[in-house]
Amino acid sequence: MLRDARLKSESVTIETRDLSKRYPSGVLAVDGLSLRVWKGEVFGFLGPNGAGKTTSIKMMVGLLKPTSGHVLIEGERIEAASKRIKRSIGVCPQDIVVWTRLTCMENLLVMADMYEVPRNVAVKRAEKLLDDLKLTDKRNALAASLSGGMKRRLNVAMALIHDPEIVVLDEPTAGLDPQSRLVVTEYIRELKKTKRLTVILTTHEMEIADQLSDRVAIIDHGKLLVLDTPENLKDRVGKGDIMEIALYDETRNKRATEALESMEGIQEVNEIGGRIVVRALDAASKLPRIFTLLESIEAGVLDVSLRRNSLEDVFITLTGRGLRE
Amino acid sequence: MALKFVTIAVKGLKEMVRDKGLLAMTLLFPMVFMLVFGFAFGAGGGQNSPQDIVVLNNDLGTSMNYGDSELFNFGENFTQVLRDLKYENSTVPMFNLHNATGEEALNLLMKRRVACIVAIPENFSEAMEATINSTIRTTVTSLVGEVAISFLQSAGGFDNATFPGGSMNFTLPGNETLPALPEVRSITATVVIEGDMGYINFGIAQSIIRGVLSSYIEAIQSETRKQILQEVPEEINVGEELKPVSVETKSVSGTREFTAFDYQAPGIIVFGLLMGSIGVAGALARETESQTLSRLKVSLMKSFDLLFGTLLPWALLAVAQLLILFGVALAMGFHWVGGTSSLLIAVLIGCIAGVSCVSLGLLVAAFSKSEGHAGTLGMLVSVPLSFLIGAFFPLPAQAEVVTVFLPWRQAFTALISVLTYGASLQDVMPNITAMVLETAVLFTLGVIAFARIRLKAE
Repeated sequence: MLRDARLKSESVTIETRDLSKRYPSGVLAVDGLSLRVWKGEVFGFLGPNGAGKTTSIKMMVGLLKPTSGHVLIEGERIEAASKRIKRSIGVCPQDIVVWTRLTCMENLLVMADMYEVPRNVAVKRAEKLLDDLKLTDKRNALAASLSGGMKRRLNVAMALIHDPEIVVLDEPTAGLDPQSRLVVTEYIRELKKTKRLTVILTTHEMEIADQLSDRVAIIDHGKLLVLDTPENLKDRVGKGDIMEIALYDETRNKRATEALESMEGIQEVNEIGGRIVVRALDAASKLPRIFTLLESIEAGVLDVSLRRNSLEDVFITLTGRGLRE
Repeated sequence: MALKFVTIAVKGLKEMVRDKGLLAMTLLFPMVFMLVFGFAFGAGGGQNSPQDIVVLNNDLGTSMNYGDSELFNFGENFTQVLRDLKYENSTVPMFNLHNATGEEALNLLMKRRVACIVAIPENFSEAMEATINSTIRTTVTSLVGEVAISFLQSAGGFDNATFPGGSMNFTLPGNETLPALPEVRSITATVVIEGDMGYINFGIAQSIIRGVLSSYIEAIQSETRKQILQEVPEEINVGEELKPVSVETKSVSGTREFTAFDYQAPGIIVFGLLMGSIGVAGALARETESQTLSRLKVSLMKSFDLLFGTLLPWALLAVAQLLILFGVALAMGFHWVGGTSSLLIAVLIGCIAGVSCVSLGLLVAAFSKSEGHAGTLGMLVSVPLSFLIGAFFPLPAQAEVVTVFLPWRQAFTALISVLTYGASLQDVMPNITAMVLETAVLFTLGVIAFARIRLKAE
C-alpha cells in the first residue's frame, strides 16, 4: 500500500541531468541525456546497438564517470552514493558476468555477502531465485557448465540476490533461446506485478519493451529521441497496421515506394532493410489494390506480412532506420 | 554474515583449486626448474672436462741409498704425473693445475675456481723411499725363500748349498753371508686432498687423484721389483708390503656438504614464489576482463576486501609452493642444515615473500586489461627479477647493492641462511625486518595502483 502510494506520488528514483560521455577514442556515446525514472515503474530504454544505452546505464550505476552532467539516485549523486543507495541498486550487465568456477549457489552467496545479506536470508533467497528462474537443478553445478541461457538467467538472479529496490537489466534477453527468453520475461513481469521494483530495462527488442515497460525512452546516437508510454508513442506515429512487402527484384523498391505513397488510404511508406514498410488503417482491406498497383509497375511480390503498429515503427518514423540495422 | 574479504578469499581459493591448469602451471613450472638445476648442479652433471686443482708440493725430497744417491723429489714427480694425465681415448687432460700459494689456493677453493687442493707432505719422498725399501725386502725375502727351499730340496741340505744370488751379497746359513737388505723406516706420509665434500667437482677430482696416487705407488713398486730381478716368477707370492703413503680427505671449514645446488635451491624457491605474482595478476585481470570486477565495484565491497581477500589464498599457495619446492630440493640432494625450526622460519619467510609477490601481482594487474596481458607482463617482470636477485646465479657486488631493496632478495638471503647454513631466527631477523618493510611499501603501492586504475569509475 505504501509502495502504491509512493508510486502514485511519482517520486523520482533516478535522474540524469545533461549526461554526456565521450570516450578517449573521441566517440560521443551519450549526448546530453536528461531523463527521470519514477519509483516503481519499468522504464524501457530502447535503441539500436551502439545507441548509447549501455553507456548510459553504466553511468547511472556509477561504473562510468560522465564527461559532463550527473546522475542522481533518490537525490544523491551516484559518485558519492551512500551505502543505502548502493544497496538499493541491482545490476544485471549486458554480458554474462558470473564466476565460472563457482557453482550457481556459490555465485549468488558471494554477491549476497558483498551486499551484507545475512547468510540464512541469503540462502533462502538464493533458493527462491534459482527456483523462479528454473535453475534449481543446477544449484550445485559450476557456472562454466551451464548453457548460455542458464548463465543469463543466473546473471539476472545475481542482480536480485540482495533484494534491491532498483534493478537495472541491460539486455537481459540478448542471445536467449525462446524458452529462456520466456522465463526471463515472465520473471520481469512477475517482479513488476508483485514487488513493484523500479526496473530499468535496456533492449533493442521492441516486443519486450512494449510488453513490459510503463514508459519507454528511445535513444539513438546517444541522444534521447522520445520518452513516453508505449501506447502514446505508437499513437504519436499514427494508428494503423503495418504491412511489410518484399519484392522479387529489390531494384524495384524505390519505384514501388513512390507508387504506394501516392495511393489513397496509405499513411506512410518507408524502405527498411530491403523491404517496403507500409502503414495504413485496415491494411488487410487494401491488400488487393496494393497488389494490383505493384503488378502494374512490374514489381513482383515475394512475401507480405501484416502486423500491428509497434515501437519499432516509432523508431523507424523517428530515424528512418530499423532498430536492428 | 561473512566478512567480505573472507568471502573473496574463499572464492579465490575455490577458483584456484578448481582451475587445475593454472594451479599445475603455478606449482610445476618452478618444480621443473628445481629438477633441472638439481640434476645439473646437485646430483650429477660430470663430463670429460679438466678439473681445476692446485697441488701444493711441500715434499723435501730424498737421497736414495741405491744407484747415484742423488736427491730425488717424488712430490714433483707425482705432480708431473697429474699434469700429464689424460682421459681415456682422449686428448683432454684430466687436471688443470694452478700455481698458487697455500693462501691463494684456499681463496680459489672458496670461490669454486678449483675443485680441490692436493697437499703433498714434506716427507712424501721419504715415505716413497720406505715404500721402495719395503718392496725390496718383501720381494727379496719371498724370492730367497722360494729359491732356497727349491735349492735345498735338490742339494739335500744347507751345508752343501751355494746360493746363486751373488748380486744381493748374502750367503745362506752354514758359514754363508746374509743379504744386505735396506732398512725400512717406520714413516707415514699423508697426502691431503682438501675441498667441499658435497661439491660434485671435488668428488670427481678427489676420486681420480686417489686412484692416480694408488697407481703411482703401484708403478714404483713394480719398477722396483723389476730392478731386483729381470723377471719375478709368477708363482712367487709377494707378501704384505708396508704402505707408508696414505691419503686423507679434508673438508674446508664452513663449506662442508655445500654444493652449487644448495645455493640455488633457495633461489628457485623464491623464483617459484615470484611466479605466484603472475597468478595473482592473472586472477585479478580475469576479474577485470570478465567484468566480475564491475559487479563487485557496484556492491558494498571495499578495495581492502578485494585486495586482502585476494592476498590470503595466494599467500597460502606461496607457503604450499615453498614446502613443495623444498621437498623437491631435498629429493634432488639439497643439504638441509637445521631442524624443524629452520623450516618454520623458512615458512615465515615464504609467507612474507608470498605477500610481496601478491603485491607485485597487484601492480601488474593494475596495468593489465586481460588475463593474457597480465601473464605476459607478469613474466616480463618476475623472470628478470629472479635473475636480478641472484636466484639462479650469484650476483656481482654492485648488483647486490641495488637489489637489497627488493623483498625477494632479502627472502633469498634469509632462506639460504636458514636452510643452507642453519642460521637462527635472530640471525635472519634483519632480513625479515627489511622484507616486512619493503613488502609493506610494495603492498601499499599495489593497492593504490589497483584501486585507482581498476576500482574507480572509468
